[in-house]
Amino acid sequence: MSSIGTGYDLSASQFSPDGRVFQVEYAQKAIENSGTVIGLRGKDGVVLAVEKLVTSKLYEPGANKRLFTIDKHIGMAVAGLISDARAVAEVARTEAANYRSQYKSSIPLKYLNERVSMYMHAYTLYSAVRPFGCSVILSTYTEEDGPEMYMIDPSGVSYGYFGCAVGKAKQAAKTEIEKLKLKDMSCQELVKEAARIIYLVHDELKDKQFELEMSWIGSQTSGVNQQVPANVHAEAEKDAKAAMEEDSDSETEDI
Amino acid sequence: MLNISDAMTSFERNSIRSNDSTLEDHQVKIIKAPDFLTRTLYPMTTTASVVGIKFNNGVAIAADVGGYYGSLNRFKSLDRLYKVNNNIVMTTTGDYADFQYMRELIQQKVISEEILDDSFSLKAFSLHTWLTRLMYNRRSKFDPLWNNVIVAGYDNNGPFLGIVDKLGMSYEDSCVATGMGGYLATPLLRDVFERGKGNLTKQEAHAALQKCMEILYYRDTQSLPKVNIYDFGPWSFTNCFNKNKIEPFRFLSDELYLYYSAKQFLLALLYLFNFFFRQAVD
Amino acid sequence: MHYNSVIEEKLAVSTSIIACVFDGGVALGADSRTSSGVFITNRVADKLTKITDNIYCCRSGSAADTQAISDIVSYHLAFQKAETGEEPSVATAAAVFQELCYNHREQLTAGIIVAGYDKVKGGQVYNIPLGGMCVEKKCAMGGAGSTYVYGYMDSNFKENMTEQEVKKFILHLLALAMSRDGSSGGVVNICIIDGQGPPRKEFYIGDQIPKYGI
Repeated sequence: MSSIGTGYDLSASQFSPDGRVFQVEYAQKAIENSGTVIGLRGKDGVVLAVEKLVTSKLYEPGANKRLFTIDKHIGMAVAGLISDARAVAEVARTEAANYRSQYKSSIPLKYLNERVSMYMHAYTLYSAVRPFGCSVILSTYTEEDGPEMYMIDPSGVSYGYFGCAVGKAKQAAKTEIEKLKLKDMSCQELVKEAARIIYLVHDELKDKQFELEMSWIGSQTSGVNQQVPANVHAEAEKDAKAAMEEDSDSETEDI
Repeated sequence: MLNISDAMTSFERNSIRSNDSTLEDHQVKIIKAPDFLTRTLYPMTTTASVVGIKFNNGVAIAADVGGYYGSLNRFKSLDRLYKVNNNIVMTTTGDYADFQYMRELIQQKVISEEILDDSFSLKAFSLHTWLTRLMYNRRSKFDPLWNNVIVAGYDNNGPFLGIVDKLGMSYEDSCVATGMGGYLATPLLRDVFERGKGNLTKQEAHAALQKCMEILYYRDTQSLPKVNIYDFGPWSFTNCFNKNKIEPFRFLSDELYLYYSAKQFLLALLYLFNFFFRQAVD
Repeated sequence: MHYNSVIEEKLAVSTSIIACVFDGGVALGADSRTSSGVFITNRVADKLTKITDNIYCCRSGSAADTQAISDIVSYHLAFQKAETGEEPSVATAAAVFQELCYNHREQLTAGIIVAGYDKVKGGQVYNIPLGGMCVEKKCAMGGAGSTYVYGYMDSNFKENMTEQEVKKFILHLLALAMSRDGSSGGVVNICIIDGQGPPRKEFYIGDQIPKYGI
């Protein structure tokens, strides 16, 4: 942030002399303050997991969800400003509905990703608007093309991923994801890994409370995006906590 | 100023008059372009009657699978019972293209509502109200959807059975029928329903619907002897709803046939007995 | 009336058209007559129109209407292909046809059969008759001439025919329709789409068309 205050960061429609658009970079910073979100794409489906930070004990459990369903066959996880993310989800839903009414079939994720990316990118071009302070992960599973996953960042750039992470502890999460043999893993296995990674990268000192949210889509859900069922969720969460205990035990032994 | 008629011979004037006697001499006839945006609809591919009845803790509806193009039976297996969600089934009599249009509207409505993931789901009652509004709005634009709609469902409030016509008139009832069924099946269904004191079993309801479809096949030129029957009840939220089940159509059930034959035979015996007995007395 | 004549005497492809699924793909067939009232304005019309590489349609009704609709659908699907980078599916093509035919059902006279081959579902046939409904079928007919040969179709159509069988079936069916229907005639066009290379179009003329009865 060496260039703060040079005056080139006041508008999304202006470059700095060294070719950067500061407003977009600030939007990316906004995402780094939010809880970690990961997406894992295995052999038969995609699992999305969110470390939803709960900033007050007074909130109802399950409020401000960070996992959305865009169309029956598309899931979305968001990191960053939740209100911005909701706007993006609404855009994606409209896009999916329009496609369905025009072509009487469900929208391919590749196409939806392009449309949403373009939309987010448009908000980096004008002085009258600010970029979206959120990053979204899109997931799907179809009989023909198998599992697919994309992540879009505030600049409007998007890539297809096997595993991705965004938010506070994205570096740590990525390191963990890289250890997995994603291509051989089933959704059942991925759910456990996803829960474990979220618990592992959670920083108890800085953020006390959090809720683990998980959704999946794959052959076992017949291509329909779903919240991970309560029993599977509980099981994965229990295992994740157990793994944490083990971890901390071994650390103390080392000392 | 020279009047147009002054330049004409009387013959020309007369010939114009004879063609169009309403025109004054100096008037110019304004020919309107033909009305390209006509909205007068008439149905093209049509489907026949739907009948429905409530029973002790459920509701069942039946419809055949024929699609008619005038009197031509152009489609022999049109699927027109639309499972809206786990609680509702909806179908129509009338134009099949309009049915498909309504089906797509409802499908998107259900998706948009399901993806909110808030554990609420569309109820048959709500869909019925919404369809009433849809039909009434369209008729008010002089552009009606050419259908009579039947909505059946089951939820916490028990069974639901409702009807909406192409003008947006709607009501709920324990027995409903559209198309020619309105004339032929309604009395039959009401009779069965009242004799059962509103507490029919599922089997009785099925039999009544079957009978109605049979009679409709005898008397409706646009019907087919291939019928779908669906029922709803607390047991059938997901499993028993068998969309592709086509009930085999029987013209007269074996039992009934036996019954009628036996009755005829006994009557004949009685007649003969009577005949001989009288002769003997005489 | 004079000002109405243009509308009343529009060119009509009152036709006999058919498309059906066979083992490995779809086959489309049509006669070649376009008439205006009693006059045959085109005796060698091609009513099998290309929509995308592997999707064709059979047109019946008003020539102007169906040509315009086909052009619009071709445009939509080419656009979709450019945007998504994938070959449009036959179902999608049928959906776009239906959208146009249904939304303008009072302005159009168009009975269209869409047939083609895609990787996901193989050969498919969709029938979109006058009111703008759309239904998938194994075998679909359209046009005025078809009413004379429903019996032939019902008794002779089988699923999983070979290419030779399906060609023979269509040729005989259209020959029968053309012999009874004054608004069908000319040559027989047949198009085979099986996803193995480009669609193959053939036509049968004169003695190649079977003759029936007196």
